[in-house]
Amino acid sequence: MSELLDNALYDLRYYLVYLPLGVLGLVRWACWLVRRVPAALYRQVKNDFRLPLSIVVPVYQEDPEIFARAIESWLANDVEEVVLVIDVTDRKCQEIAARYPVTVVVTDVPGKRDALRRGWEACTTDLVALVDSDTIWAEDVAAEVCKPFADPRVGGVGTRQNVYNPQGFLQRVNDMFLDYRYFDENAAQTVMGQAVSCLSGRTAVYRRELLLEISDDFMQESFMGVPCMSGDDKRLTTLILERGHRTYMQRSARVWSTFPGTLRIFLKQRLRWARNTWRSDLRALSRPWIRRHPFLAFTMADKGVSSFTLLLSPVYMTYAIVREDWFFVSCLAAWWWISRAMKILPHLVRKPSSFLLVPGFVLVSFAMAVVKICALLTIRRQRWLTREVGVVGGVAVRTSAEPAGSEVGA
Amino acid sequence: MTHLRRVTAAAAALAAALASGVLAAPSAGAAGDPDVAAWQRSGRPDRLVVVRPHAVGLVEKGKVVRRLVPPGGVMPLSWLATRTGKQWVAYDAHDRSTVRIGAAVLLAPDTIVRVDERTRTVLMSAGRSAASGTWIKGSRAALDIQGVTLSSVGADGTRPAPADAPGRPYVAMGTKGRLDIRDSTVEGLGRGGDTARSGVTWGRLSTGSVTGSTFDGNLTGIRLAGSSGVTLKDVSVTRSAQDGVVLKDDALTTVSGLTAQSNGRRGVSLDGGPDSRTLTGVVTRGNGGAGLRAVAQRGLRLESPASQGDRSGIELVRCARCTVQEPTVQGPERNALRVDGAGSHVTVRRPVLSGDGRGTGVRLEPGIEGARVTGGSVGGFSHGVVVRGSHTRVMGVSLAGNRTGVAVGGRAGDVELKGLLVVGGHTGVTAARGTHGVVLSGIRINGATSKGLVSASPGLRAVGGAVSGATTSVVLRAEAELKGLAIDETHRGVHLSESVRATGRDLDVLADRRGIQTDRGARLDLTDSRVRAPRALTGDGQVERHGQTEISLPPVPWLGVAALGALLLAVLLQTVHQVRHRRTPRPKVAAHVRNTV
Repeated sequence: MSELLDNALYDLRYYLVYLPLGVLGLVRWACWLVRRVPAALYRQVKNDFRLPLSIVVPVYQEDPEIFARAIESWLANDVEEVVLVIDVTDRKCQEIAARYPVTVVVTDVPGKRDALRRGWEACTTDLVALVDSDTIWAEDVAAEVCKPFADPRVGGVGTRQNVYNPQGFLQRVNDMFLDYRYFDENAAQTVMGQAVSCLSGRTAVYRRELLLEISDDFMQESFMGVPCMSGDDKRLTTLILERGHRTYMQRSARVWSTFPGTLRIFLKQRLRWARNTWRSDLRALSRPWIRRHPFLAFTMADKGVSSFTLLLSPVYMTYAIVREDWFFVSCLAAWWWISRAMKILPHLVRKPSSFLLVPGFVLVSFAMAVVKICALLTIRRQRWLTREVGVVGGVAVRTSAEPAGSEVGA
Repeated sequence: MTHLRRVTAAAAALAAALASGVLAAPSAGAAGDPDVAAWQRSGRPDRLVVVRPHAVGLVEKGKVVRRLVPPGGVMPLSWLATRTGKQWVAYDAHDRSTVRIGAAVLLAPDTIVRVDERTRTVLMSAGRSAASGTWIKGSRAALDIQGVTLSSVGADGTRPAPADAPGRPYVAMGTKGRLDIRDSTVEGLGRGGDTARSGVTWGRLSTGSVTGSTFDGNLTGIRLAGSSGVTLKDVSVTRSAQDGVVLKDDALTTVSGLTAQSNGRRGVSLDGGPDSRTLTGVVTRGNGGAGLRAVAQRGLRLESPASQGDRSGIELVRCARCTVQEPTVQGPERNALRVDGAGSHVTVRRPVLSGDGRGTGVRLEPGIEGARVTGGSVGGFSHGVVVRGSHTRVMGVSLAGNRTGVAVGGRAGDVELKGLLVVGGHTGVTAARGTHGVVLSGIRINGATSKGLVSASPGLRAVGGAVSGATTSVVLRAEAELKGLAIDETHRGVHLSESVRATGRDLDVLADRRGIQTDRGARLDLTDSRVRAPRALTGDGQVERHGQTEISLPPVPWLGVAALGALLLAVLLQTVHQVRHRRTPRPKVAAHVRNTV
């Protein structure tokens, strides 16, 4: 009996110390492989299909140089119309827009959602590309994004994004995150059921008729009684999927966008995105339509769980350091570096020098896991965080002084 | 008024002189006068009072200047103070309880002098030279000091006299004399040179006692040199320039309640003396040498000696059949308890030794005949127990927080370590290459930060016991036999260095990395044992399994294989991706966009 107990204690201790992290690591790797295998088989749509396409761009306090370059890149594509919905307070961008053959809609309603709605209502083409004002297109984006629409079931198409001329650690890390997204998550979701969880708002193309159909739902989104202000792209994608249409990521359509270079804005942006993701994914997982997209449901659940499991690794590392178990510390650190490098191989093939940034990337990943948990705990809070707008009393308002009192129902 | 007082005093002195019988005017001090002869034998002091049963002679510069007739029987010092005069022995002019002694006092045979409460303070002059200094000596006489402060006073009035004063007073009782000191304080006595002058000395065959008294700031507090039957009870000896208490070649001394504190050298020193003596309750604190040092003893028994903050605790040199019972030593700079010297055979029972990270708890030096340490605790030393002598047994001792618990070194042979508990520290037990016949039985080593047992001792045997919590539990650098040993909570269970042969029977090894590691050419014959570890058997050497030996499978490599497979799969999938997209053209974009690969 004592021998049995002794053996049991040994096994317990042994497996408690060594195996949980290893097993968890293997489970996480298995989940990643479930995404990575179809992602490796991804191919963009190739055909000659083409539909008329308009571009709708909400504009608010954009960097003038970037804005001008973005307009030029859109005009370099063969699009029917470029509609810029510019905030009434943003004189600078209005002046820049005036230099180009574009349609300008000036709005005094704060908030991106209303601007988008005004934009697609002003368009007349079959397809509408919703684009951020700092997003620069390759010359063939319009042509490439039309191709998936050859399939009438496709309601929205996304593009591949990268950071515009990344400089500094955070922008490089953002570029790594983007490649990870478009070579793994979105590629896998495209292959497994053509249901991309989020067509990024930097450039997402929809059938206009669908946008008009979902317009009210889009504008009236709320979560736990609080009207939603950010997360427009996630909401649009979900509404499209909910109505039985498909969403596709056309990786041959490439765009570049600016990303914050300071930690403060970086964290705020990530916190906002994480809240949007939690809201959208939790709502989606509770709705019947998600059953039509089991792979999408899996990736949503996997993403949610990973926020917590990811933090076990630094906990183990801390425990090992406290125990002065330097062998384990070395092994775990090496494993972090190598395994994470393997997971971002598509990026490393593109930029081998990023291998040296992998430890930093790992640490940022841990920080992101903490941010995601914070976002879950503050899921009802509605703030843009990087812009001077917010939701007060159920309406979107400017949080800056000018123009005072301007508020419109969101 | 003053004039009247002087006249009255002169009249009183005259009457007293007549009454006490001042017999004669000063004689010439002719050769052959016994007092002059005594003066010559006594180092020719400037002034000498020779006390005889029926006469007191005052000798100055070799001449008898006066003779007094003492009262019969016991002579109080107060009698001398009233009879001899200011330069000899006299009351202090301002304090009638203080007597100043300005002359050496020699007690002739059969005299009895008492110093008691009537002369509560006795100040002995140090003079300006050795000859002008004072002393009290005697043989076959008796000196009884009770309730008195006996102190030296310098020529300039400083009290006590400076330690380097050449004439610093001393008290010495010689052959067959008796010196008793009760409830008194003796301070500032002793001068250099002859050991009989070192403070208060009982000489050859003298006897007496010290009870309830304090000796402070003497050269040597108490010295028994060939004395017989002296009793030391409740005595405190402090701040001596040299040793506190010296017992040399004494006989029938009984000691109880002796405290030696802050002495310049040893607290208590025993050298020679009778067989089978017992010292009880010796306490030493903060002495510059050993708290208690015993040399050339037979059958010495130390009962509950206590040492605190001495440079060394207890030293036993050439002690045969000696026993130290329940010693307590705290914070020695060097060794708490040390046994040295040829013929030493010492038993130490239940020691309580605590250090402050330095020194050694118990040190058994080479050349001793044997030693046995049983029970007790030894903690907080650089080395808990160091065994360099043969025929030693260390049993049932608890060793905690020593950097090395037990170190067997030198050429020690026939060493048995039995039932020890070694907790914490850097290394549990070490046995050096030159040793032999080392046996460990039932030893438990817990929580050593580095190694549990390290042996380079050929033929070492470890029977029973457990090693837990070390980085490497057992390191064998020489042939060894392990039997019934349990090893757990360790990174590496057993490590055999190159070419080492060892046997293991009934071992139970539980390690979180390596069970048994054998270097090249090493071989371990393992019988009826169990080894559980991720890598149970490693190294270039051999482990031969016999009987019911159970070796656990290593689970971790499977995890590693799985991880490696996952990494390879990642590379494969990336390759598939690369192949499928090898013709994807680079995007056409404005020149200012650089991140286009």
